[in-house]
Amino acid sequence: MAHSYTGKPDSGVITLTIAKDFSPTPGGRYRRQGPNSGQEFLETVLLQKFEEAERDNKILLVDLDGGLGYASSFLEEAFGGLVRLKKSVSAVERVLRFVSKEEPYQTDDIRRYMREALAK
Amino acid sequence: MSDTIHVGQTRALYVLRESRMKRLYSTVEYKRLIRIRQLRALANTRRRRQQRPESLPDIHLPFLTIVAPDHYSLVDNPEPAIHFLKQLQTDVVNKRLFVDLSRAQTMTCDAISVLAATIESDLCKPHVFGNWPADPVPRQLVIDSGFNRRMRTRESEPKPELGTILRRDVYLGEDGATVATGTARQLVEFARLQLNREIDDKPSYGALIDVMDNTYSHASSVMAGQVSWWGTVYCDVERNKACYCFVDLGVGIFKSKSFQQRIRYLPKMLLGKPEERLKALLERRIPSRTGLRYRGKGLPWIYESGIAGRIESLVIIANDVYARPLRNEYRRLPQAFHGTFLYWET
Repeated sequence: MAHSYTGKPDSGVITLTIAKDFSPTPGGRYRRQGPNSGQEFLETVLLQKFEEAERDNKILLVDLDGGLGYASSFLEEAFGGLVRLKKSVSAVERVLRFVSKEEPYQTDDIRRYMREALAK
Repeated sequence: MSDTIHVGQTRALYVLRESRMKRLYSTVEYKRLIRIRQLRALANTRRRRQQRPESLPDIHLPFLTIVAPDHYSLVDNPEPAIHFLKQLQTDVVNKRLFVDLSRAQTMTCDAISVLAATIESDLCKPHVFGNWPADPVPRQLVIDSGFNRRMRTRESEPKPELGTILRRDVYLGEDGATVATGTARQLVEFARLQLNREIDDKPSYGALIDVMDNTYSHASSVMAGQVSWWGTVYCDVERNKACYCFVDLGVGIFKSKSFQQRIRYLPKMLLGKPEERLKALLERRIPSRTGLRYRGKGLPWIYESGIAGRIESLVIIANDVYARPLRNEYRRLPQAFHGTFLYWET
């Protein structure tokens, strides 16, 4: 459970740490390419947590730290893929927040992938 | 009772013996013993096969010697290096290949990685002979790079300490997957351990996964995921740098089916200039073949990591294009490289 600025557990936030809840070695885009893919993460972890947060009117805080790093294809398929599933960028942006001390640039990249997910 | 056994009696004895044997064969104990015997025989065969020296085909054939360039480097001196590698890939009939590295004065780790990949690939003859550089500096580099045992030499081959060359076959390892997170992890952790420094190797891990992803999708002209690749890291202790190199000997970016489909959307002025095409690809100016903007972010992301200073000295060679995009250097090569080559440092 995430902690608010008061130091108390924040009941309105669900935290998802990719390195702990999925894998410290994320892979490529699709399942058929190899283990720990973005598609696998979306289908087995992210979508479930997202729907839980959406249903309970909570924020889903995705923590990117703790792993070995991320390929753009993994992040695009996971978060861009979520936007494509939900067919709305704003609906996803309302629920998702990102935190990364180790790779702060990745949060901007993810937001760009989400914006471009529905662009043709 | 007479000692003589008549024909009828012999037959009766046979029947009796057969029925006893039948009973013996069907017992659990007999099956257990025979299984042990089979396993022992199998182990012996394996042991004998290991002890037997590997037979060298065509041992009577003369050598065709291929000499490495004086300055053997794909990053700094690509033209002679590619010419040398092309010679290795030619289909030589009735001759054995001998790779003469002895005259090389300088070498870089990327060139050793590509030599290893070429020798191990199907493009080259199966048994390659050779020698090592006479000069002690490139000789040490060959030892340290992890090249060992890829060529038949008379040299003793000490254990490499500063580099490792890992091969990925489409039919081996983690479910035969092209994107091998375990291999990327091995390379990154090798560099971290050898250099003993707190480097930000996350961009390198991401870049490795992205290029594996690229190889899966674009390296084969026939079917996705059919091309092997080699990922290598060499730790330059003097400069305190981890040098990563990734090679696949597929069709290369410009001959991939997906790229051919993508360039249909390009303005006509860019067609016919492969170096401009690579630049456009890195700068995200080429639309996706599917018309969807979310695909094809791997190489542009690696390029942007270079611009942001997260990786350095990026070099890309694809078909007949050589690029050092961080220096805005793009040029056409007289001879095309068979596949895709990426090099960067952290």
